[in-house]
Order: sequence, then structure tokens, then C-alpha cells
Amino acid sequence: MSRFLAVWVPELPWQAVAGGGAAHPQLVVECGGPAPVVVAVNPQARRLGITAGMSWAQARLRAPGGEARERAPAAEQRLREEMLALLDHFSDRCHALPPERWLLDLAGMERLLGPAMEMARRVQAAAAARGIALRCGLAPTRAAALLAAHAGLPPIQDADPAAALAPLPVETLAALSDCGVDAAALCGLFQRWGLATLGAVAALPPRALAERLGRAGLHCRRWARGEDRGLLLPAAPPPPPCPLTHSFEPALEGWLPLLPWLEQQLRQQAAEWERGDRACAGLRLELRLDGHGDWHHRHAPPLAHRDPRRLLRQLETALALQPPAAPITAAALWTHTLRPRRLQGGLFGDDALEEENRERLLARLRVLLLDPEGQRCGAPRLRDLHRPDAFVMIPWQPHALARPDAAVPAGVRPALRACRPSPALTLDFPALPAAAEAASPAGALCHLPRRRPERVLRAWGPWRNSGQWWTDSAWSRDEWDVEFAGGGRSRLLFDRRLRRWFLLGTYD
Amino acid sequence: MFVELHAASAFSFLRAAALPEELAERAAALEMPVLGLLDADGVYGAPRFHLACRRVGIRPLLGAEAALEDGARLPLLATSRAGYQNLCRLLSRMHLRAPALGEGKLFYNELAGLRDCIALTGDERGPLAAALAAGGMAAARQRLEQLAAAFPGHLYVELQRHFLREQAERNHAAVGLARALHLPLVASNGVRYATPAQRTVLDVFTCLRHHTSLDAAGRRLTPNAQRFLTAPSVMARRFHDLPGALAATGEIAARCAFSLDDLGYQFPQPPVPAGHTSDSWLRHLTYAGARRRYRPLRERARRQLEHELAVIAKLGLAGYFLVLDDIMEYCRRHCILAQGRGSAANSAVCYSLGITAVDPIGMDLLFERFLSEERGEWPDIDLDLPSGELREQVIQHVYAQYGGHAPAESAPATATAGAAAMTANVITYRPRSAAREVAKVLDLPPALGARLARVLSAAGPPLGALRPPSWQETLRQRGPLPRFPPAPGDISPPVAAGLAQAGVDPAHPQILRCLYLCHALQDLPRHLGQHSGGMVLSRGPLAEVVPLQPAAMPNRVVIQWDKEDCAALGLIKVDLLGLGMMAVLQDSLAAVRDRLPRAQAGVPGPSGQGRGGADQREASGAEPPAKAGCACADLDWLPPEDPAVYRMLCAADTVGVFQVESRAQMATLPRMRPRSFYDLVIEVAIIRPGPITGDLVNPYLRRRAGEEPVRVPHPLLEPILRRTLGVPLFQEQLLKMAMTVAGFTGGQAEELRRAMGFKRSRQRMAEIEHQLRAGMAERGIADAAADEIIRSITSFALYGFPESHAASFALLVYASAYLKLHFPGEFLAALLNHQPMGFYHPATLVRDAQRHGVRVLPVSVAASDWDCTTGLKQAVPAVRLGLRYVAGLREKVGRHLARERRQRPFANFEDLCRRVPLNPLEARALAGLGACAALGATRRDALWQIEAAQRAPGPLYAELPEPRLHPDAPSPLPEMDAPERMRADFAASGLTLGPHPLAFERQRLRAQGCLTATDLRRHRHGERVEVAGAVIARQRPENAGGVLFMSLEDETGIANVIVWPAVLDRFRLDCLAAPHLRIRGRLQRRGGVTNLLAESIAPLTPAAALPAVPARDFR
Repeated sequence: MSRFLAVWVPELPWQAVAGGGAAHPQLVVECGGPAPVVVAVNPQARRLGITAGMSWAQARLRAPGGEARERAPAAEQRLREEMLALLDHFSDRCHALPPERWLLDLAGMERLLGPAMEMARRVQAAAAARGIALRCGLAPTRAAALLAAHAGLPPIQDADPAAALAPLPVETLAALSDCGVDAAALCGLFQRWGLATLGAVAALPPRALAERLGRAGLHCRRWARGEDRGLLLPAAPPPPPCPLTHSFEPALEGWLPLLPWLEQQLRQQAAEWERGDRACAGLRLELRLDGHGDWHHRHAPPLAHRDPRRLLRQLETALALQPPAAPITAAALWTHTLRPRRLQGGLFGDDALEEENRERLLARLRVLLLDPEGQRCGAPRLRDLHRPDAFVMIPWQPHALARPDAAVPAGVRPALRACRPSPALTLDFPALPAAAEAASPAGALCHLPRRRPERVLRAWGPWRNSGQWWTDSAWSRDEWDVEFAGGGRSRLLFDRRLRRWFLLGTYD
Repeated sequence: MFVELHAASAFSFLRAAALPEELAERAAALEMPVLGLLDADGVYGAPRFHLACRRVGIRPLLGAEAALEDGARLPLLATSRAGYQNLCRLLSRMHLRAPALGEGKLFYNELAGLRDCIALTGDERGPLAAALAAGGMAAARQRLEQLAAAFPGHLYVELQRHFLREQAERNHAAVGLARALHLPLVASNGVRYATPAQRTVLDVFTCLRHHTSLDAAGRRLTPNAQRFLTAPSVMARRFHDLPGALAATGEIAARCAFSLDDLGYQFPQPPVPAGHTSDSWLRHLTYAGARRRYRPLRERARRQLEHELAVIAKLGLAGYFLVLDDIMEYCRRHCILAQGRGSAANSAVCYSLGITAVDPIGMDLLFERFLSEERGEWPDIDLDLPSGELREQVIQHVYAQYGGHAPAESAPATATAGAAAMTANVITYRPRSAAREVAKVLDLPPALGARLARVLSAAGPPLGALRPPSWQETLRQRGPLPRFPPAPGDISPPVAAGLAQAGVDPAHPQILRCLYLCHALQDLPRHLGQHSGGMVLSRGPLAEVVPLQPAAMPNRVVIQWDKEDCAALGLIKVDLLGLGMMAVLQDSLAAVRDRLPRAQAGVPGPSGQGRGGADQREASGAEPPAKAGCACADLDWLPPEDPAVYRMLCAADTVGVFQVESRAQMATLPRMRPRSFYDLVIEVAIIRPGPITGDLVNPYLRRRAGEEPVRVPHPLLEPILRRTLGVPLFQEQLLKMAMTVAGFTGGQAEELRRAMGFKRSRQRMAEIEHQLRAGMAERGIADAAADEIIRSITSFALYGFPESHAASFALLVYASAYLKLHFPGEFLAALLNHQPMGFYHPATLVRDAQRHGVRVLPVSVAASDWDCTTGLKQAVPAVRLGLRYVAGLREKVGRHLARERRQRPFANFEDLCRRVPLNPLEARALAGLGACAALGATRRDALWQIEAAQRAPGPLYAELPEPRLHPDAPSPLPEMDAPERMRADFAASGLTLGPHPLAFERQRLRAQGCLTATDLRRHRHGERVEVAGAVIARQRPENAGGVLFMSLEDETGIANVIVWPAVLDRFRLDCLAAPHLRIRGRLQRRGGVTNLLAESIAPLTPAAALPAVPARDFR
């Protein structure tokens, strides 16, 4: 009768970096900021009253001898992927409830894999073999399975799980707080009402409850009875399939021999996407290099599609742009899928084709600019700063205008042909006036790279700018408008922190 | 020649970053003879700037940068007193008519009224720049013509050069326009800070003003760091092409002749009857009062009064006393309890006028401590009034009587031509506030900001000796930016240790930046608040002396200067202070009067007298006054020297009693065993940091108990120290000692008093110590005696009480103790209605009253008012808790509920919810507290029913008298048991009337050998015992060497626990955080006081979770 298997990996960040077995308190600490925060603890630490969310300082006071480890998001992600790979053996209908829960529909799998209880046991055993401690809840409904997993209940075999859930404390309902109703808030009210168990909540008269708490009350009552009706699972992204991995023996010399394997994997995936009405919204290729660490590349197409050739071209471009530095010993390919967006055929052409052309163009530009991360290839967005050249690059979107953060100062601006990047200059000053507030380049001999030296006839300025002193990218600079003896006007920049001159641009 | 005419100080409130003193000092260092301060919308920084300039020898020019209707800011400089008065008047008008605080604007057509003021066209926010940006050259020309017409011959076109392209364009246009209109140019640097390094502070301020962070502020921040006070030579080079603009600065400086020395302030002269002068009328009133107070008026009192009246007449202060007498008379007429405190209690004139209640002659108090010719200062009289509405009533009376601005419509015809306003209180950045705001600006998480604030407020300046670069350093450096952020090694060790302990990485770059900024913000003004009670009165319109502006409170007007500024410029203020205990006494006395006939109530009619102690009364010949008044407005109605009151005090049964309810006071009372009013005066004064660190407490108590002989350090001191058994306890004694043994003059004694005063200073005390030693050496006082005298005096640098102040407080001690003993119900109700105040949480006050036989009744929707009320229940004093004790119930709703139930009782929950706009949380709180029992429902029934009743049936049925039909089935919820009721009580009101939480654990605790608080009395000194209880107070006084004092409460009473630092370190977390503790330790019994010296501490982990009893920690 048990159709649903809920799996909960408690304290996942701790399990990802430490795992079980330690006899002393262990904590996982988020160290990104100036004040570390505990994100997960082992049972020994929990017994000392340490909980996630506590500051490291508080935790240290409670467990002076405790061992602290830094949080490792990559390891957590690996653990999640490992869990997905593990669960995929049992059912392809698997919902991930971030960050650390999964719900499997086992209907129809018994004939292939044996009874549900056996499957639960095998999940636990497989996880234990990987060093993952988890709790399983097996029940005929999703709500009951999730509650059972949180409470550590044995498998619920009855068609009506209410009796099995009845003794659970009412706070257990909080486990379903992300299912469309703020169950945690209602738990407080139930406790004020003197209802200590789910059985007491389940026994409330539904009509009276609806009069008082509306639909939310009815939801909680149904969940307390293990009923599924109305249980809304969060709209989480579908779980990524397990990585397509392969070890190469002997190692592949260069990246070209890798392409056949990639093409094969992508074609297989495309066939599956076709069947499941999915499309690729992102992929990640990781290569293990012989003695040179890992190589990795991510790609997110602007529109999800399922064309293996286009995806392969993207990977090919990335490999050409940044070839692996050593023979490839293993490869892993992850793909992230979505429901494909339907495009209406355009009057003047195929939108999808446009999309592909644009993508190809951007990829080529990145190759030309040696910019695999897209930091210099995209659309610039001006920043609302005094620094005139302050901008950030954002991914180029055909339909989104690159708007500045705020209104950019308007006004009359002479046409300045800006140099990108600004070339460094050398200025030979005849004699620096002692009283000058800033070193005026008037009269100085200006050496531009690959040009003849020119003497600065006149100079206007300085126009002084500085800012972002509270960050590591503080700047302080003087700009000068200069006229050269040989004619022509330019804008020079003196970086006050670097103590160097640059040519910013030339006036047309 | 260049002088800066357009500088703003940090008193522009988040628009500039340097203190006036910094600007003045830097100007002096730059050899700039004149500096103009133009703060935004006021003259907030003018007094400090004026004094600083005088100190460093430069001439201050004053003015303001006023906001205009189009958002521009117009710099204005006063050229004469008339110009200054015009400016103040216009700024006052601007502020007082503003729709909201800080939104005042001047209209262009008002500017013509600013005669004798010079206007500049301002910077990028000036009217010229605004017009240029909005309408180009034509609009700018029109604006200039308009300003030129408003300021004929007094308008200058201002040019600033901060190396900005837009500014250069603007300057180009401004020069052209000025030449076309024949207007003079003037150069300035639009100074916003003294040194370039302070640009960081200005950027932080800008973010705070715009409620944003540095990352998000964008172009609202300054583009560079050029708006600092720049040397004249540099400015001369910068404006070499416009020598006229430089010369104009000197020309303007020469035209501005106004100084704050010529403020023209005068104190009001109250009207006196025909044929009298102020002096003669004061004499008349004084003697009339003295004849009531001193019966008979003997020669000694007459001599003192004559002396005081002569001094008052000589100093021209009669008007001041008459104003105070008028305020006191108003209080008496309106049954408002009022009492002068502080040094005023040293004056027999004040006593005679009824301003103070303590007889200074009987207590032999030093008049010179209050007023002396030598000091040449205005006396400082603080009036204590009941906090809340009654104090507000008195303040509004002063506004009305002396022509305040807000209530001008209600001013009586007799009002003088003067004006009144509250003194301002400049709120400055302290470590805690600076850390909070800087953390916000740097986008640090709020929890981290709170942690930084805690550490900095405890550990002092964050960067130790390192200050932000001074202007001298910056001058030396010239070009490069100052070092920012500081290195980890620059952080002061206590701060670094505190941060590490709090789990913050002190070397993290963001933390270093944050600490730097916190340090740089220290002492800079944040905003203008309102002084707790200081009112400034003036003979002429006050708005011509200083601009006025509305306070945040309705019907309040404040001046732009704080009390220090007022004192420095000779403005006289009267302090009308609110004291919670005065309100409690007032309410208690009113309730007693309402409940019982006078004789029955033990209120003996007008038989009270000035408190001076029986012995002192004998000495002065004072007799009870026969003044008419009402019981609720005069503490003289209380019978003096009630032995039962002193018995209660001796037993330290003083929870809720004014000033003597703290742990330290309760520990001293059984040893002190007060028997007279003067004993209370000593009791109030002895538990202060000064006597404690001077090791004066124990010698006094031992001598009092006859355990050691009374001796004085030197025979000359015998008459001074006789009353305090040879131990100096009061400031007055120390002044007399200094005058007697070291030959101090009155002026030197005054210097000593200042050093011992509120702004005490160890350094000044050290300087005075040298003078004392020299004086004593001249008189041949031996080293040992000299050392003892010095120790006594210098210990007061850590704060001691003046005798007069202690006497005023002692009167309140006696009164509150009397009411607690004889009218505990009324006293409790008044205490509960004026929380938060005092040392204990209401839960503790209620339990204490219950132990004293008061029946405390729960909150009820059928019987409670908003306030707690009193009455008799079966001949037992009873207090009904008010609706104010329902957590989360809004006052407006609570009062509405009380009104509704008085009109007609509530029929059921439907009726309650229909007639009272309760929100769900309020309804649940009422139901959970059992306040709906009168509707025939248990708590759980009420919780069940009220949820349904809360869901309104809709407008069509809302007015139907019949309740909505509900399923008649009883509530399906289980009824609360006793522990649940107790938890519900704490959740909904913070206290319980049922059993104490520990009572539910008693059986288990007893089985484990845990004693109750009362059990401790039966055990011997030195015995090792264990107690458990709820922590109701934690105290760690600064002068206690890190010792933590805790009070543990259980169902039988309160146990006192002392935790030594070593024990505290071992059990710190539980000790500071756990709401219930089990403490094992050794019993200490000394002088009738029982303490437990903690050895091990553990959190109490009961079977059922106990609610946390609210604690008042570290207050």
C-alpha cells in the first residue's frame, strides 16, 4: 500500500563535509563573512544545545572542544547529485524539496524492484554505503511519507495513515511549511489550543475548524490525517539527472577525441528530452585531467532547446577556446532541463534559427576576445557612479535594453573617441612647478606607445574623481584635456593611486 | 587675501562632517583670521563655534544655509545683531510652519525681510545653479535679478572650484551673469569637512540621510574629497584669474560685525504688584512662606534668609525665583506633586517658597553650594514633576504664561512679552549607535551590526590611540590619501578581544573599515532631540535669540541649542523633570484620598513638616507648617518618622521603594538600620560609586554599629564630619573639608565641585590633589592624615551625591516606603501603571505585593480599565490588573474596550468583537489570559470561540443585535491545566497571578536537595547549599571588579547570589543567558544579609518547560 517514499538527509552540510562517526561535537560553519555562522551540526553538538543559525562564537561557548569545518557548497551539491543518482535507480518520478528532501513515487516499481519496504531498505543501505545518513518515510500518501520521514516512523502500510501519524507531536507539521500553507505559524496556535499531537488536530471538527482558520486549517487537519488532497509541493526545478560520466583508458590526448563521446551522450539525452517533453536549459562539462586538476565549462542557452548539434557546437567552441592542459582521464556531463518554450514562427524567418545564429556569433566573439567567461562579451550596463567608465557586463539579451542603474548625467559632451583599453603614457616634465596642486602635463613631452613623442602645448584640468574608498576597487584619478603642439586634442588620465598616466581618448 | 565664508559643520546634521572646533582650529592653523559658519537651516553649531574661535583667536562669522521653496539652499551671513535677529526669526517661521520636521522652506518673497544679511548664490545646490539647471541662462539671470532685488548691495555670486567639469561650466555661466548684472563675485570652497580624510564620514552621512548603503548610493556621494578647509594661499592660486572674487571674501568679513557676545538675551521679569520691585516682592513671598514653614521664625532662620535674599538681589536673580514660585504655585493650584531637587535644597528661600521640601537650616546645608557671588553663575534649580501628562500640563502652562510659540492661541492676556521653549538635546554618535549605522551603510548583516555595537559599547574606542588623520598630518601629507582602512594592529586590544569573543574576525577588511568609520563618527551630532525638561525663558521674543523649531512631540517647541550652549551664552533655563516615582506617589495619594476618609486613611491632615530629622528640627526650631493644599500634591501630608516604616526599611523589605530597592541598597539597609529621616539621607548617598570605591561604606557602618570608634582624620574636620561619624559622604562635606584643611577659596571649592560633578574627571581631580596637598602642608597636616583626606576627596571623582540632593531623594524614599507599608494596594497599582521604572519587573512587584497581603485580580473584559485600579475585596486591599497588561493590546483599543464595557457589559464574544476593533492577536491574548472569563468561558473555550467571532460576518449582518449562530457544541479543546495557565499568563501579560513557575518543580527540586529562598535563612554561615530559581536581575557594577550579582526568585522570595569572576568565566553562557538556574555555593551571612557565593551554576532543566520570568539585567 505504501506508494510514496520520502527521503530526508538531516544536516546535509555536515554530512557533505564530515560525515558520521565522530564522537565529539562537530560543526559546519559558513565562513564567507566577517562573522562565521553555524549551518549544520552533528548529534553530539546538538545535544549541547548547538543549532544551525547560531553564531560561531555562541557555539564555541557551548562546545569549547568542538571541531569546526568550513561549509563546502560544492561538496553539498555533489552529495545532492549523489542522492539523485541513487534515487533514480528506484523511480524516475522523484521530486526534490530543497534543500535536503526528496519524494519518490514508487507506484509500479514493485514488480521490478520488490516491495516498497525493501526499496526503502535498499535506499538506506546504499546511502549508508556512501556514508550518507538519511531518514526514510514510507506511506501511502505524500504528506504522510514526509511527516514519517521527519518523525522517523516505521513504514506505514495502512491505507489510512491517520492512526500511525496520530501520536506525532504537532510541531511535526512544520515540516510541511513549504507546501503552500504556513504550517509552522498554525502549529503555534494549535499548541495554544492545547493540541499536542497530530491526532488531536486530526480530531477537530472540520467545519468548525474552517470557520476559524479557513482553508489553511483544513489543510493542516488533512495533513495531520495523512491525507494528500490539497498538498502542494513547491515548484522546485526538476532534479537534474545523474551526470553522464565516462573514464577514458588510455587518457585522451587533446579534446578532439572527446567529441564523439559528447555527441553520443547529447543525442541520447535529446531523445529522452523528446520523450519527456523537456529541453536543455543548461549543461556543465567537467573533465578530469591527468595530473592537472579539473577542467570545467558551463553553458546556459538563452532559450531552452533540445538540439544536440547546437549544444555540441557550444562545447566544441569552449574546448577550442580553452583547451584542456593535459590528457583527459574522465568526463562528466550534467544537463539541466525545463519545459521547452514554444516559439511562434516569425513572418520573416525562423526565430529559432535567429537564436542559433546569435548564439554562434556570441560564441565566436568570445573566442576572438579570449573571453570564455563572458566578462567582456555581452551588453554593458552603466553604473550610477561618478567614475565615468563604470559599467558592468551583462549577458546580451535581444529584447532587453541595457538600461543604466539610474539616469546617467546628460549634458553637452564633445565627441571623444575613447581608447579601449587606455594605453599607458610616459610624460617627461620639463620642470614641475612646486606650487601646483596637481602635476599639469602642460609643456611635458608625451610618449605614446608606437607613436612619435609629442609635446603638450596646453592643458585644462585637473578634473578630479575618486570613490569606492570602502572597497578594494577604490579609485582616485585626475583627468586633463590637452592640446598637442602638433595639433589634436586628447584626454589624459593620471591615476593617483598607481601614479601613472594613461591616454583616455582623442577629441574628434 | 582669502577667508572661508561658506563652511558647514557637523551641526548641519548629516550634511557635513567636522565639528565646529575642528574647523576653528584648522582655520587658525592655516592663519585664516576669519571663518564663516553656515549650517543647514539653523545656527545649531554657532555657540560651540563661537567659543572655539574665541579660544584659537579667530573671528567667527555666523549665518545659515536656508532651504528655499524650489529645493535650493541659500547661504546667508548676518552682518549685525539686527541681521542675526532677522535670520533667526525667519528660520523660526520656516521651521514652525513646516508640515513635518526638517521640511521647512523659505519663500523667495520672504527674503526681502532679511535686512542686514549678506546672501551668496551658493554651490551646486544654490539658487543660481538650480535655475541654470532648470531653465538655462535666462532663468539664471531672472533668479539673480530677483535675489539682487531682495538683497540690494548684499548679494555676491559665489564661485567654487572643486576640479569638476560641471562646476567649471557653471562657474563660467555665473561669471558672465555677474558681469552682466554688475554683481560682485566671491570665492569659497563650500567647506563640508576640515580635512580630506573626513570625506569618508560625509559619504557615510549622505547614505544615512538617504537611507541607503555606500554601494547603492551612487552619485549621491561626493565625486571627490575637495570640500575641505583649504589654505588661503592655495585658494589664491586656484582663483588667480579672479582676484576680485578673493578680495570680496575680506570685504564681506569686514562687513559682518555680529558676534554672539552681543546676543542681547534677557531673562523675563514676571509682573509684580504695584509698589513692589522684583526684589521686594520676592522678599514678601519668602517671608510669607517662611512664617508657614518655620513656626516660629527664629533668628537663625531669619539671618539665613536675609543673607540669601541679599545675594539674590545683588546678582539680580529675583525674577528667576519669582518664575519658579509661579510654577510651583501653579502645581499647588492644580494638585500636581512637585519638588525641587539638587542644590536648590540648600536654599532657605527655596524652602520658604515651597520649591524644595527639605529644611536647609535644620540640616545645616551649605547655601554657597547653590549660589555664590564668586561663581557668577545662574543657579540651577531642577523641579521634579510626575512623569507623563501632569508634567506636560506644567510645561504647557509655562508656554502659555511666558508666550511660547506652539500654544500661542491659548496664551492668557496676562502673558508677558517673553517667550519660552524647550532646550534641545544634541544626540551624538556613541559607539553603539555609530556601529549600528555604519554596519548598515556598509551592508553588513543586521545581526553582525548588533554584535559590533555590543562589543564597541563595552570595549571603548575601536582604534585605541589611533585617531583618523588629523589636519596636521593631512597637511604634511598633502597629496596622497590618508591610510584607510587601518591595519589590524591598530585596533585597540579590548575591542579586538571583544570581537574575537563575539565570533567576529577583527582583521576582516570590512570590519577594519567599519571600525575606522565608527571611530571617525564618535561624538559627531546625529540629530537634534529635546532635553528631558529644560525650558529657556526670555524677556524678548526668543525667536530673535535663537531659531525655534517644533519638537517631535506635539505642542512642543525647542530652541536649536543644548543646555551647555545655553549656559555658555548666558541663556537661563528651568528644568522641569519627569520622575516616575513622583507620578507613583501622586497617583497613590490620589487613590488613598478617593478611597478613605482622611482620618481613616492615616493621612493626618496638614501636620507634616519639612524633613530635617527630629534632631535637626529641634536645632532649627522648625514646626509643622500650616499651609493649605491637597493631599495628592504635597508629601507634607504624610506623617513623619513612622517607626513601622523604618522597621520595614531595616528588614530590607523594599521592593518597589524609591532608590533603596537595588541589591546593594537592600544589602546595606539591615546593617544601616535607619531610624530617622537623616539616616535615609545617608542611605541614599552611601551606595554610590564614590563612597564605595573610596572604601567609606564599611567604616561608616561599623562605626554606626559601634564596632569601631568614631575618629576624624584631623581635629579641624570634627565639626564637618561629626554627623557622618567621621566619614565624608557628601559633596558639601568635601568642599568644607577642602576649605578648612587646605584653605581653598570659594572659587577653588567650586572647581572641586565641578570635578566631582556629573561630568567628573579623574584628570582634573589629580590637578586639584596637588593644590590640596600644598594647602594641607601649609597648615602642617601630617602625611597620613593628608593621605586619608585626599583619598576621601578623590574617590568622589567617581561620583558622589550632594547632601541636598540626597535629602530630596530621601523624602521620596520615605514617602514611597510609607505608602508601600500602609497602602500597598494603591502603591502597587500606581507602580504598575507607570512601568517601566525602578529595578524590578512587574511580575516581581506583583508577587511581592501578594506576599504582603494584596489581592491581585486578573485582567477582565468585564471589570478592567486600561490602568490598574484599586479597591477592597473582602476588606483586603485589592488591585485589578489593567488592560495595559495584555501583551500587544493597543492603548487606543484597550481604552475603547473599557469605555464600551462601562456603557454596557459585553454579552458574548460576538458582542465583544463587534463593539471593539480587536485584531486577531489582541483577541487571542485576551482569551488566553482568561480575561473573557466573565463571558462564561474557560480560557480554551474563549480561544476557540474568539477565533470564530473574529471572522466578521460581513457588512450586511454586522449591525444585527443577535449573535451569529455557531455550532452549539462545546469547544473540542482540552481545558488548561495549572502549568498551562501559568505559561499562558506569561505569554499574554509577562506575569502570573497563580503559582510561581518554580512551584511546579518544587517537589522534584526538594528531592534533589535544592532549597527555597526562605530556607536559606535557616542555614548557617559557610554552609554549602543549592538553590534554584528564575533570574530576575543581573548586575555587574563597574566598580565591583567584574563580580556579577544575581537575584533568583522562587515561590517563597528572592535569593541573592554573588558570582566571582572566576566562576563567571567558567559558567558564563548559562549565567548570562539561562532564564532559570540551579546554583550551588557557600552561604554568607553578614550583618543580617544573606548571600550565596556561587561555586557551580547550571541551567534548570525542568520536566515541563518553564516560561522565562522577565529579568531586568545590567540596568
